Amino acid sequence: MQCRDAQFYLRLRRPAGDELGADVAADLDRHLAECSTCAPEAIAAQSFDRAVATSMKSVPVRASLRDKLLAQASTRQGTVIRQKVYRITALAASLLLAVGITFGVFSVSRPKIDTTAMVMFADEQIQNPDAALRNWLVGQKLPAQLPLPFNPDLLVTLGSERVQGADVPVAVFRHPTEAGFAKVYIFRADGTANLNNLRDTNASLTMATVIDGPQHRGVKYVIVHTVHPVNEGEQPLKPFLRAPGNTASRV
Amino acid sequence: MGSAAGGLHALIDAHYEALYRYAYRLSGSAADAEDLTQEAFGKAFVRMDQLREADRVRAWLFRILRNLYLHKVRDDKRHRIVPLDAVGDLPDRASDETPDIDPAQLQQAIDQLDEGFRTPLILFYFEEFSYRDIAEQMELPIGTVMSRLARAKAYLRTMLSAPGSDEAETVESLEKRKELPNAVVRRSGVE
Repeated sequence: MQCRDAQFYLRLRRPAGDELGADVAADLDRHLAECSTCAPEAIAAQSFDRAVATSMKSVPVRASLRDKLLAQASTRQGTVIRQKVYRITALAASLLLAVGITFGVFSVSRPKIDTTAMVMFADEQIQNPDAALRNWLVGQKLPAQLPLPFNPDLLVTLGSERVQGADVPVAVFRHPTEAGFAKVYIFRADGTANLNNLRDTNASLTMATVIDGPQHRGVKYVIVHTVHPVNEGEQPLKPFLRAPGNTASRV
Repeated sequence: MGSAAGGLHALIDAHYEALYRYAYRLSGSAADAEDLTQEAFGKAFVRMDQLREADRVRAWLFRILRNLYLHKVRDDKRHRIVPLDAVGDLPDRASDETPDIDPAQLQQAIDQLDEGFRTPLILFYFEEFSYRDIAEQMELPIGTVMSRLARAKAYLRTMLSAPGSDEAETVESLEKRKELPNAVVRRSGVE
């Protein structure tokens, strides 16, 4: 090992422990044992290092620093706890709000059944079936009149019926003398149901009559009724219709 | 919760003195050192979950503190920096006597070093970190760290062991004697 290398390694030799590696340390020690220039330098370097290490670490630390740091830690801890509490509170509030909104929406949308309203509606239907029918149609946002002059005295029910997956408003009329009925289904032509296959149809006891056209904007009527004997050329629905010239209904 | 607070307190008790001393030697100011120590612990508290190896917590804290210090002085040109390009060629001033080094005088000498030389020097004499640790902290190759350290130590011996004088060497006196080139640009590292 040359003196120059030895000088370099001496600077890197640590006051405590040696990280130069066994080979370098052995070479250095060998050189120091033989070199009269580097040997005293090694002693001086060690001495210098010890002195600098002592001086380097000789920094008085104020006692108040520890207190400040502990206070800082406590504050931090408090902040963390507060943040956790805020998060939990916010989550609970959100859940409560969501439950409240859901319950509110459900409560508002849930139908409220009232027998008083039921009997009043039934009374109106009996006392003034014309008005009941008209009010019901308007309430359903449908044309205020049916396409045919059905006899209001024969009106049985006003409501809706589930037809092949669609809820359809329906007015039901009874036959005046026989067991029979005419159901007037009112389909909204708003695209919610495919109405392309609606056409007049006959079965053994009943038939369906489709009424639509430009004068019935927005709706198509399907009247399903029992078949009763009528004179030739007469409307098959004649038994359910008002007699010509009769505009009154029972009171 | 109590154990978490206890953990922070234990962390402080175990490391705050070393951290403060490091901060003091880096910054040269008690006030700055105190601020840096507090900031370092503040960051550590927040990032505690990022600490991968619990047994390397001190190196982690020192690294946080150094980054804070570097951030603080990034644009600070007030420091008088000694160019160390030629320091490697300075002869070490041998003396058989164990010198008595005044901590304030030592600080004065350290203050004049570029941070890239100051940090390995401080960490070397703190005797707590291996060269590998220092290299990791500074994100430098270990050879670079050792090279910088050798130069910084040579500089320190020159500054603190001036023969025939009660006063330590000053940068000015070294420059006058042409032992330090006075027109060397500051360099970021010695490779």
